[in-house]
Amino acid sequence: MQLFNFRFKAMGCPCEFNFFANSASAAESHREVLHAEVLRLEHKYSRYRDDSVLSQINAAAGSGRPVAIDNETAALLSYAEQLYQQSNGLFDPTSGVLRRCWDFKSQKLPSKKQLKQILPFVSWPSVQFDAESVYLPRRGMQLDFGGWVKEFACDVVANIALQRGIQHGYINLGGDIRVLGPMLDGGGWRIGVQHPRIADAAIAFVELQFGAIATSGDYERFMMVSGKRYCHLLNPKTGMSIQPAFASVSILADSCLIAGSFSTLAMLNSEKNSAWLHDAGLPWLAVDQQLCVSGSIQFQGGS
Amino acid sequence: MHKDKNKALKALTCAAMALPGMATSTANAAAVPDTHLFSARFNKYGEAALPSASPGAPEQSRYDINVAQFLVAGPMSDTEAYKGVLTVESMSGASPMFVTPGANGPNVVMSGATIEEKRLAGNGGIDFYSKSSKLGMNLGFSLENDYSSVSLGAAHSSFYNGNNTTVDFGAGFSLDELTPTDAGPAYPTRPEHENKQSINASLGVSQVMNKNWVLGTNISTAIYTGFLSDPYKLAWIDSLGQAVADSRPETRTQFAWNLQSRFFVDKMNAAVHSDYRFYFTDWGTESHTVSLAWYQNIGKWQIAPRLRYYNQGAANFWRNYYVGERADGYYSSDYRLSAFSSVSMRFGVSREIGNWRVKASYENYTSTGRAADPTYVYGREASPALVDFSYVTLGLDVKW
Repeated sequence: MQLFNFRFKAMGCPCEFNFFANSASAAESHREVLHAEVLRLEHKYSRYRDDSVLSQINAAAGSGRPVAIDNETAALLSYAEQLYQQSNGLFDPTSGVLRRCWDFKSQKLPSKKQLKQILPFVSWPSVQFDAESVYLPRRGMQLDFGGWVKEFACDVVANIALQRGIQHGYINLGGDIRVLGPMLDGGGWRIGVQHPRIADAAIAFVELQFGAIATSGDYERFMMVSGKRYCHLLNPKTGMSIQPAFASVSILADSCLIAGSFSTLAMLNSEKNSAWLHDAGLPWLAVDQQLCVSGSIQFQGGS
Repeated sequence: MHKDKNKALKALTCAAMALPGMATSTANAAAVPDTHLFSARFNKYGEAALPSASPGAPEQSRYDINVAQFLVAGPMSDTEAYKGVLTVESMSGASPMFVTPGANGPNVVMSGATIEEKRLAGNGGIDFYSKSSKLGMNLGFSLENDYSSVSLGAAHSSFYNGNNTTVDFGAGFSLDELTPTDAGPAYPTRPEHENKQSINASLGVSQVMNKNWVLGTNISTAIYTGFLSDPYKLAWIDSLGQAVADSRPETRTQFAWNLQSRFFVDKMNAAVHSDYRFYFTDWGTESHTVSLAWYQNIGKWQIAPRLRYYNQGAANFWRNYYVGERADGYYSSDYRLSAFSSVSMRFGVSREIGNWRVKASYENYTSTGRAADPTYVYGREASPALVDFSYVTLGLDVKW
């Protein structure tokens, strides 16, 4: 058994397959299948491709024609509905249009007028969907699965790896990690939690033998205006950037999807209720705005 | 506040499980149940009377048993689950004691009718779950005024292929003690105190063939030693003109093989359960059981008819009555060791009401004997003591 490590870019972030296999040819065969699955999901739900399912749904907004969807898309929409409910509307899959007002490269905040014009298009409750089709009622409305497709992909790919018999390793899509099984000696994989303020550095390390970890932070896309940080976590009701109590939150769960959803929910809720994280029911690790690390997960400080 | 957050976790985990490709991740292969269950069952078993022994005499009524059974089960922590069962039974009636030859065929001689007797039995266990396996330990007991038994068992399950394949292994033993009532001058052949022991083991595999179909098979074996006879039964020996105590060998080894299929018919919202079981012992008994059940869902109702056919061969030392003494000293006229086949038809209904489920079922069982030997041999005709019975159950399940 040797350790194989494959790195590539997908879904706009660095990805990694790290696992033990009996031979290079077996490892390559696994890699091919797993990589293909990541690309399949990227293509299906990418807003950058005209032929993606997501783009077809967005193109039909306000046209009067519901778009036929498959099992997977319908189930993702149901999951999105649960996220909306459980976050009391803070997590809105139609908030992607706010992107038009927020240019993180420009150092300029959106005006009240701009936000006022865009907000009516942010309206998940108005989206009509069922097991077979989905329809966005206003032209200009957009669905964006960006908030959880990467974590979903991590789980789907991990399950394929497990079914193919891979028992030791992990899948890493942009820092969202799903462990397939411990190292050969049973020990955990040493996984670094991204430092919120220093690129390519870890602020803490956790050891995972199984399970998933996902992190949500205020550093993924942001701009500094007059010394204040404005990040990509936007409040769909006001259009304004949320001022989270934490620089980042990491959550441990059985699945990457749950870990990712809860880490984002914790960040969104932290502006008004930083205690939400403690009661979430899952092991957590948080870095506050002063870069102090705390949590119910056992961790080691980073360099 | 606290309850809210776990609600979020439950709601999202549930929605996540519905996503294709996710099932094996969020549901840990070996997952502790997430709800507690309480079940109650009230059952009434009644055997049909045998025809009267002679013209003008009344029918010979047989056994009636009323049972109340209670079960609780649920999680104890993230990795442990508990289960406990308590059974209270009260039985009354008469049962066949031995058989004598008669002008019109073999006659059943019944025991005197008993006053009400009670039995208390219980069983408790804990399951320990780890990533892809489960280990369970359980302890059981049964107490009656003339019989007590204690048992211990362990079972291990391993899950493979993302939960599609399960391998189960189990082993256990039991110790029984008999103190038959009325042993003494009235029944001189009845022992006062005897013991019995058994050990058993089983191995099974279950495989999910596709999203609608699960197949399973298992083999099991058991060895019984000690007093294996029925202390209340006798056997008639013609040459002696008297009945002797039921005397069976002091050991019995048995083996069973079981095959089962569970198939869900999407279009009809119903499931078909079919089972086959083959069983034999070193006493010469061999049996086959075939069972077919249809579970039909209609809204919150479920109706479930079931048909079961059973066929067994006689134990090699069984006779209705004996011509002369046997060299090996084994004698038994117990109808349960004779050659017979039976058909049981059961109809069950259940209804879901919120977290509750109410169930009722009625079963009718009839058995037909056949000669233990294709060539008619004195004493080996079909047993006249075969039983027909009806079984009614009422049940309640509640989850929280």
